[in-house]
Amino acid sequence: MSQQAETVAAEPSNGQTESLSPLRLSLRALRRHRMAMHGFRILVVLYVFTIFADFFAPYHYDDQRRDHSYHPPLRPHFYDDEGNFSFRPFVYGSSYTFNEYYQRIYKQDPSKKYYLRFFARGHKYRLLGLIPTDVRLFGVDTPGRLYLLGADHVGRDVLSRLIYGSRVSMTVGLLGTSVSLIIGLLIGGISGYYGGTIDLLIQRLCELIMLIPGLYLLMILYSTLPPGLSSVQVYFGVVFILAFIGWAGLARVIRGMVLSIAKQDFVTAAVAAGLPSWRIIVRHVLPSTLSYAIVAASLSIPAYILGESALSLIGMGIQDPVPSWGNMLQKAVNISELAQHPWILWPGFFIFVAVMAFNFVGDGLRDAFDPGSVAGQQA
Amino acid sequence: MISYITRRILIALLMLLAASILGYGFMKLAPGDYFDRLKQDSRVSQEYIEKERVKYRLDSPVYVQYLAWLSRFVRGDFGYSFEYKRPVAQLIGDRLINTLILNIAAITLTWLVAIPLGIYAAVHQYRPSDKVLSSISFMGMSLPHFFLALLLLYLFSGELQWLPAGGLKSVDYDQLTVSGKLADLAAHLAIPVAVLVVGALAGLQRIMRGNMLDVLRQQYVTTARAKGLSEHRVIYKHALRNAVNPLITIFGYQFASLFSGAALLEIITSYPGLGFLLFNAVRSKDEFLVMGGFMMGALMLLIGNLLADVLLAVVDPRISYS
Amino acid sequence: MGKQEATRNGTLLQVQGLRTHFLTELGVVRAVDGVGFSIAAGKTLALVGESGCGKSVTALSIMRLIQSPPGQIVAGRVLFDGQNLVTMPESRMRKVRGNRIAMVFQEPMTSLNPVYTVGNQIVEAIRLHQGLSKRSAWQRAEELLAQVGIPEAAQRVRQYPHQLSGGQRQRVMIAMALSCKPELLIADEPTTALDVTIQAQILELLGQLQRQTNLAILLITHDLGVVASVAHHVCVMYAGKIVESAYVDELFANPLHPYTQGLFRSLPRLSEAKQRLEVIEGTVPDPRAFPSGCKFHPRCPLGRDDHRCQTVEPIRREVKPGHPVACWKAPGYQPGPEVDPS
Repeated sequence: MSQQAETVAAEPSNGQTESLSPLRLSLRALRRHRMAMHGFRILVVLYVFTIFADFFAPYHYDDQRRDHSYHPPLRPHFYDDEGNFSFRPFVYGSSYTFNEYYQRIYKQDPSKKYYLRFFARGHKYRLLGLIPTDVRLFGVDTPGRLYLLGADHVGRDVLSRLIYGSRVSMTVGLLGTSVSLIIGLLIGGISGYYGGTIDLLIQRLCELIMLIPGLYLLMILYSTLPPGLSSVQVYFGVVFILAFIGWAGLARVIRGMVLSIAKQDFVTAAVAAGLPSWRIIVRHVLPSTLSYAIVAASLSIPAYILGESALSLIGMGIQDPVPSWGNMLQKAVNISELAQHPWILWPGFFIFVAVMAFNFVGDGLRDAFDPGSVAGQQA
Repeated sequence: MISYITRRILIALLMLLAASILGYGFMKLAPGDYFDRLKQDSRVSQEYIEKERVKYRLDSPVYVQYLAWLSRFVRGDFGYSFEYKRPVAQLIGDRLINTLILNIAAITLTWLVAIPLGIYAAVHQYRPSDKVLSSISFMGMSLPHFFLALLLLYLFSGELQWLPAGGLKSVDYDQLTVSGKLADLAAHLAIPVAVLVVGALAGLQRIMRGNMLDVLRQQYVTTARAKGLSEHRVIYKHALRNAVNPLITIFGYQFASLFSGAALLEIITSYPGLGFLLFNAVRSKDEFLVMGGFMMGALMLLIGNLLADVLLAVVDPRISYS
Repeated sequence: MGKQEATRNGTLLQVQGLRTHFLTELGVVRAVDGVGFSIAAGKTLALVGESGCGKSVTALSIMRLIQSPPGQIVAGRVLFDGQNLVTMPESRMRKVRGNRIAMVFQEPMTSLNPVYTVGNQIVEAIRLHQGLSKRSAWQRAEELLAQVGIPEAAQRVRQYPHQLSGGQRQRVMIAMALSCKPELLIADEPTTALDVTIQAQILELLGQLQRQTNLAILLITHDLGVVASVAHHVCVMYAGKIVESAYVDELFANPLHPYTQGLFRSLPRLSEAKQRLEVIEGTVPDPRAFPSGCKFHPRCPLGRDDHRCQTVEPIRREVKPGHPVACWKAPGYQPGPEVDPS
C-alpha cells in the first residue's frame, strides 16, 4: 500500500511515495513493459513514413518503367570494379537480354555509374498536403534508377510503393477502430444500461452480424460498392465495411462491462440524484469502461490491418495503382512469379511487423490497465 | 436442459432467417447479375441472356426473388449454379469434404500441441523456456496467414521443390497406390495445415497458459497441496479441469469456423475447398451458390455456439440450464 | 515416523527464528522476519495481528507451501515431533501435509475445487494417506460430515461446493482437514468470512474436536474476541515479528506492548459511552521499506519521539515469567539475550 505523506511523518527511511492517479500509474507501468515500448517505437517510425511518405520514397508510387519489369534489387556500391573508393555510394545502370522463355535477365553495366544523392529532386508533391516541393530524401540522377528492394511487374520501385503503401495500411486500422469504437461504446452502453427489450434486440443484432462468416460478408459488401469510385472513396468504403463488422464484437464486450458497472453503487447514487440517463451513461458509466475499451480497440487494430490486406490481396479492396501492402502481394500468389522474383514478398513482412508492433503495445496496455496483474500495480 | 436446447434451436432458426435476409439483401445490393458478364461474350445472343434472366426471375422485384429462393431452400433445393451448371448442393457437398479435411486436421493438431504447451509454460512460468515460448507464440499470432502461406510456398514449393504448389491432388493421383495417395494428400495439405496451425496454436497456447496461471493462483490449489497431494496430481487433476473450461467455448467457435475459416488460405493455395468456391461465386455473382455457401457458414456458426454452450454446461457443474 | 498417541503431552511444534522473504522486482519483502513459538498437544495458540503482518505466511511456511520463486524460507527451524520441517525433503513433507498437519483456510468460497464433489475431495485425502478402499473412504467421508455437524450427510457428500452454504463449506474444510486424524491443525482465519452466529458454531466445533482428539491448533486471527473464547496461549505479531506473547488470561489482563494495548483499546465496548472508536494511528508499514529501529515506533505514542525506539530494534525479553515482550518502553524491560516463549 502506498502511504500518505502525512502518516509517514518524520521517517526518512521510508520511501516517500507520491500518490498517483490511476492513469499515471498505468502509464508508468506501460513504460516499463519493454516489448510494448519496442512496439511503440516501431509504430512511431512507421507513422513517420506514413506522414512523410513523399519525402522518404525515392519515386512516386505509379512511376512505371515497363522495360524494367521485375528488376532485381540493386545494391549500392562504394568500390567500383577497379577498386576505387568513393564516399558517395552509387549504383550501376543495367541492361537486359531475353532468355528462351522471353524472360528478362538483368545485368549490371559497370560503365554507367549513377551516384546516390541525398535530398535529391524527384517527382513533385505537396509536403503535408500543403507545401509544394520536389525534394526527396534520396535518389539517383536520371536515367539511372534505384531499386533498393527491386521492382514490380511494371517497373515500379518496390521500396517507394512500400512507403506509400503505409499510408493505407497504417491508417485503416486507426480509422476503422475509432469508428467501431465509437459505435460500439454507444450501442454497448445503451444496451447494457437500459437492459430489457432494447438490450435483447441489440444483442440479437450483434449476434446476427457476428453470425455471418467474415470473409464472405466482406466480399459481398465490397461488391456492393458501385464501380467507378475514386481511390479515396474506395478507401473509405473499405474502412466502413470493416467497421461494419467490427463494432458488433466491441459492443458486446462493452455491454458486458456496462452491465456489471451499472450495478455499482455510484450509478445508483447518480440515479438517485436525478441525473438524466444519457448523462449517466456518457459521463459516469462509459468512462469506467474506457480502459478496457482502449485495450480491446488496440488489440483489434491488427485485425483491421489484416482485413484490409486480405481484401486487397484478393482484389476486393484498394485497387491498383494506389498501393496498399495487401494489394502489392497480388502477384505473389502466382508461385512461379514468386519463385523468380521473391522480393515482391516484402509487403507481407511489413504487415507482419506492423501487426506485431500493435500486438506488443496492446499487450502492454492490457497489462498496465489490468488491476489484477503485478505490472499494473504500484507499491 | 432439453427445453433449453429446443429454445435455442428455435431462436437459431429465427436468426438464420434474419441472416438470410441480410445476406440476400446485401448481395442484391450489388448492381448487375451473373449474366452481365455474358453480355461481353459476342457468341452469346441477347435473347438467350434475356431468356435465362426470366427463367431465374432476375427481372422480378427483389423480395419476390428472395421468397422464391427461400421457399426452395427450406425444401432442400439450394438452387443451381450458373457458372458450373450443376446443383448448388452437389457442388457444396464436393468441396465441403475438402474443407472439412483441412480444418479438422488443423484443429486436431492445434489442440494436441497447444494444451500441453500451455500447461508447460504455466508450470515453468518466468523460466527461460517460458519466455522463449512466449516470444515464439507472440510472433506466431502476429504472422499474417497469407504472408506465412506465401513464404512457405516460396520456400518449400518454389526453392526446394519439396511440396506441391497448391491444389489437393496431383495429376497422376488416380494411378497411385493407397499409400501413395495418402502421401500425395499429405504433401498437398502440408502448407495450408501448417499455416492454420501456426496461427491458432500460438493463440490457444497463450490462452491455456493464462488460464492455468489463473487457476494455479486459486485458493483451492493451495488446499490441494495442503492435503499432501503430489504436484502432478495438483496440476492434472485439480488445476487442469478448471483451466480447460473457458476453452470449451473456443472449441465451439473453432468448430463453427470449420467451414469458413480457411477461405483466404484456400484462395492462395488453390485448395479446392468451400472458401475458394464461394470466392469465385461472389466474384461472378453466381447467386444461388453464394447464398448456399453463406447459409452453410451461418449454420455452422450457430451449431458451434450451441455446441459450446452445451459442452460448457456438461463440463462445469456450476452451470445449469433449467 | 509413526503417529504419536493422542495422550502425549509434550511440545508438538516448535518454531525458532523463522524468516521467510519474497524476492519481487520491486524489492525484498520480509514477510516473516524472526518468529518463534511453540504449541503443545491439545492446546490452542492464537497468532494475532492486523492484515499484512505475516501471520498467513508463517502458517504457509510451516506447511512448506510457500511458492518459491518468489518466496523462500531463508532462516529458522520448524521442529515437528523432533524433525525439522524446513529441511525435510519434499516427498516426506507430502506425507506430513494433510496427514499429520492439516490446514483450514479463510475463504470457504474458494477453498474447495468447484468441479469436484465435496465427497470426492475428502475421499482424495483419505485414500492418499490412509489407503482405504473407495467404499470405505466414502463411508468415512460421510461420517466425517456428520461429525462436523452437517445434516443429511449422505446426500451432501455427493454435492458440489456451490450447493452448500458458507458455513457448511467451512465445515467441509474442517472435515477434510481432520479426515486423517492430524496432530496439528492450522486454521487461518477460519471464521472471518462467516456470519457471527456461524462463527460461534465453528469455534465450538473446533473446541469440541480438540477435546475429543487432543488436537493442537494454531489459530490465526485478527479478532481478539475469537482469541478470548478459544485460545490458551497468544502471540501478537507485527511487521513480521512477534512483539509479545503470553497465556491468554495474562495477556488480556496485562498487555505490555503498546501495539497490543492499542488493539485492546480499539475494541468497541458497549458498556462505555464513547463518541468515537479508538484507532491505532497510521497504517501497517510497507514490507519493502520497514521503519528503522522498532518497526512500530512511527505509530507508537511512547516511542514516536524516542531516539532509541527510532534507531535500535528491541528483541523479545521476558519481563514477567512466561510473558516476553519486545519493547524498550515496557516496564521492567532489560536489554539482553533474546527469549523465545516456551
